[in-house]
Amino acid sequence: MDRSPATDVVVETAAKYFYFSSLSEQSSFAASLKALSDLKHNGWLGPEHKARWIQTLSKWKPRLRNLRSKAWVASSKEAGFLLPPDLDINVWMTFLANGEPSEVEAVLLSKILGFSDDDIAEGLGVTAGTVRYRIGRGLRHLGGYLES
Amino acid sequence: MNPEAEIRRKKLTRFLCQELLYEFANGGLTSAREKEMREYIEGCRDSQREFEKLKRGHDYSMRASGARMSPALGEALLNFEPQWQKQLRIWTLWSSQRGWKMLPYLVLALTMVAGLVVFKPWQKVEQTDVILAEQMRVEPDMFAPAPAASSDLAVDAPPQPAKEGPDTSALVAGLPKGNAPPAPAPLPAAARAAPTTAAAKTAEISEDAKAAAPGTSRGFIMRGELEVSDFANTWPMVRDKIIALGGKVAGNVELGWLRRPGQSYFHFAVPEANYPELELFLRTFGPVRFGKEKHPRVMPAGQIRIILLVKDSVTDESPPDTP
Repeated sequence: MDRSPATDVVVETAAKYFYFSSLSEQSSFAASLKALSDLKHNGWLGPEHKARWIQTLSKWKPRLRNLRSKAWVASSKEAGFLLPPDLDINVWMTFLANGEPSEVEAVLLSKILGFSDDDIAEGLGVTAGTVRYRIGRGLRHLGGYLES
Repeated sequence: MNPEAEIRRKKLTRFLCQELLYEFANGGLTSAREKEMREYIEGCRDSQREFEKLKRGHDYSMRASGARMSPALGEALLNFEPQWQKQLRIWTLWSSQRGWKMLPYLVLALTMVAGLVVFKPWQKVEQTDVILAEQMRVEPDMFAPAPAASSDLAVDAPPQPAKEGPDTSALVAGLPKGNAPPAPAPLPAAARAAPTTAAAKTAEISEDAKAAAPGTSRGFIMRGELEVSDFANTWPMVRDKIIALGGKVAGNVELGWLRRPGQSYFHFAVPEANYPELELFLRTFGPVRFGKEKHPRVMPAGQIRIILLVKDSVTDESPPDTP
């Protein structure tokens, strides 16, 4: 893949999306490869195709658990995610396990990956109002897990 | 009417307040609604708690957005090359360094030749499927079958006038003995060559037929008549019983078709195992006569095809009509 700032953004977005969807670095690596391959094949790597990014990422998400990459073994020692020190990842794990999937998805896309409500709405095929509703409820639930 | 405008006009309740919290936190409400929300939240502890949760969730997700992919992972994703591609590249490089530039093409050509030799695509034979039974649009059961001597698979034999055979004893006994139901004809050589499941089944049936009734071929149909005194009440009961026994309509008309006053016509297929029970049931209304006739239609194993005419013993005079 040709390296450019736009490519770096899409690579990081895909990797973070799958990592926060599974919390498994190996699965997220394999799924990112598949999604990036799809995006490249369709010519959707540019930032003007953000709704397509969301579509493609959502398409690969259900298959996350079954994906393993042999290439991961070689690079697993140094490759991974650098999490902020004050981030308790267990809270996200609880949210992922117990939260409503559509709300988790909305919070992840909007707040963690920084997609606009309109891009998310187009990518997921719902209205912007529905996206905001899901984000609001998702954040309240996430806050509830932090409280407990 | 814009739903948001409608919501704005609605009186603020706890539920509505909590649903609007995200918009409130993002500044997505009108100033009047925002003021109303602020006042409401000050007086409602539940809403205050929900608002706190939302703020905590928002802060947490902002912290999570600071997660960064390590440069090594980025490199691995950007420069990923499938294993087979890597091996091919290494091998091509290795062969070209030795001046064997034609080697990959040679290997490719050899692989193709080996594939052709192993699979021999020119020897593929067209496979034919044999259909054991099918529903025809024209009702063939109203005609007697073609002479049994022919051994081809043509199912639409030339029609002949209907005949009624008095062979009831073997039917009641469950069909064995010398007059056992004729099995499908043996397959022609071309069809036997195709190793399909259907062909295998047909071959199996024809072997059984040879053992049970050497001179017979093709299928058969049961044709029967029942004369009843209370026609109006009897024919619906017969219809219900047939359905209860797993009978399915086989002709073009519904079960119990009243083809003329005092005559009800049933053409159906029923599991062979339920035939004795059906006959027993029919006998409760009066004498029933069943005959077995040869027929080009070969039913699937375990199914028999029956045409039953229920007649009013008082009004029945005229010769039968066919649908």
